[in-house]
Amino acid sequence: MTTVASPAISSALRELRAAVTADTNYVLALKLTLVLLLLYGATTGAARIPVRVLCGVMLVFPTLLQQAFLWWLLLAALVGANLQVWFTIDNHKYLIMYWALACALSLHFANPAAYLGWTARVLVALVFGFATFWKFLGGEYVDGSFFYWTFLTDARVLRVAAFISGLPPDTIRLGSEAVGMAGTLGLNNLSIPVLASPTLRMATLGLSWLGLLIEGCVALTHALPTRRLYVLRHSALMAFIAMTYFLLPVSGFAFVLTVLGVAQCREDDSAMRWRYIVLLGIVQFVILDWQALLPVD
Amino acid sequence: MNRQTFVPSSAHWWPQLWSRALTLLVPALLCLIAAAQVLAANYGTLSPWKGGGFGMFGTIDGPTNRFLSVIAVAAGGEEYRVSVPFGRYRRPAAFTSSFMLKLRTMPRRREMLELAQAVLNSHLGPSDTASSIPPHLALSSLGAVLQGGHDRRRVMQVLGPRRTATSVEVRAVRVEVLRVRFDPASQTAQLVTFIAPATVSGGKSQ
Repeated sequence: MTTVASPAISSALRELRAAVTADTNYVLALKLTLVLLLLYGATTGAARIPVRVLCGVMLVFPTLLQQAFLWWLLLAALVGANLQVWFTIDNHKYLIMYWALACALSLHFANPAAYLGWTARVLVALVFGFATFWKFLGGEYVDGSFFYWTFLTDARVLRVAAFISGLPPDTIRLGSEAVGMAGTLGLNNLSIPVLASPTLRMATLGLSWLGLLIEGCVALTHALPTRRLYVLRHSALMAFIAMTYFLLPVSGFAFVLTVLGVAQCREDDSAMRWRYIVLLGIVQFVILDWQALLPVD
Repeated sequence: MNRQTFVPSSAHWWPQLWSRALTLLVPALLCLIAAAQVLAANYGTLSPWKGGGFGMFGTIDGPTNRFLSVIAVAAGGEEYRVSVPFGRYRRPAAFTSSFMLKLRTMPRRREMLELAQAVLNSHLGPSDTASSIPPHLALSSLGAVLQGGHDRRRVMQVLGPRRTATSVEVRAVRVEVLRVRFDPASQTAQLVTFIAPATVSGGKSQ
């Protein structure tokens, strides 16, 4: 079985790699954007229909891929859907809308690839710049208390918290349940003791600063236009995507950041493009409950 | 930015200034919206997690750490805690899930009064879920803390969007938004009043 499967898998990977390098970077970025919009674009019910139809049509019929009118229509559907719920949609939906606007605008430039690559770099710099700014502004992040609270109350990282602290998940979960119950009962000004774990405290402080370091690095390398930072820029972005979204899975954000990374690749750098495609495949696994593998009581 | 790079496809009638403006449009839009969000979150009531400012994962003040407290005052002066089944009814708008989300993400006095008015106009009855502390929590040390703070007010729930002859006679409804505050020094969490209560009584609002 394996002797039959191995050549088949190798052949498929070779074909995939050839396909990735066959398209220009610009065309690949547009196609990936359409997949992004298909999966994570519209949130509300009715508006998903035009988004799905337009993305499907433009992906199935390559001649329509660079039709400006269709991109503007797509953008209109996207904005129309998300504007109604601007106060509840996640921040990556905003980034997706900005990127869709950039794709639509790019079709009006003589050098669309250069425009899109530049815009991608600037968008990443701004997003990470604002994210870093907020982490210093609140005060709860730099002292580790934000991550400490998150690890105690967010179900997505419950097993990681249990693994680090050595405490059973049920014990950790009691804290968030107590706060939720206090909220339900409207018990304001009641002090609820939170689980004290020095190990978890130190780990979350370390994670906070590691996250800050990587985010700051991404922001800075993307803000500076010098070509010497090309490799560091992409390395920092890929490291951020791989580390962050396996811990706190937000697959839409991982996808859009990956597309922005692809758009910045040099035309002759097919290896970097391929790395992003592989990363895109790997981040799809963030939705799996890999944390169940952690040995916890 | 290389000036020669971003030449518009029709250079005859697009001046270069217009081309530069289009180039900067997307980043400028992001900055504008993010800056507005920073202001709204720091000087208003918008949660830093929402609104396009990229403040998520920077503070615990997200919508999931904000709670609504609805208190009904009966004709005889008794107070009841009201459980609103957000999402069960399409009307009034104040009972929908999206309204509840908006109230937690960006609480404003207008919407708080709207919710209070909707509850005042509704059929209230004894709650079937009782909002009691679950057994596994009650038996823990945290359960003792919660029960110590439990104000023993009866819990009522909205049974329908319209008042009926059997409805509990409610004189006023008070809506408050609470927020979780975590103190790392004392290792305690506290629910604090985020927005001062909005009260509606017999058609008058405060």
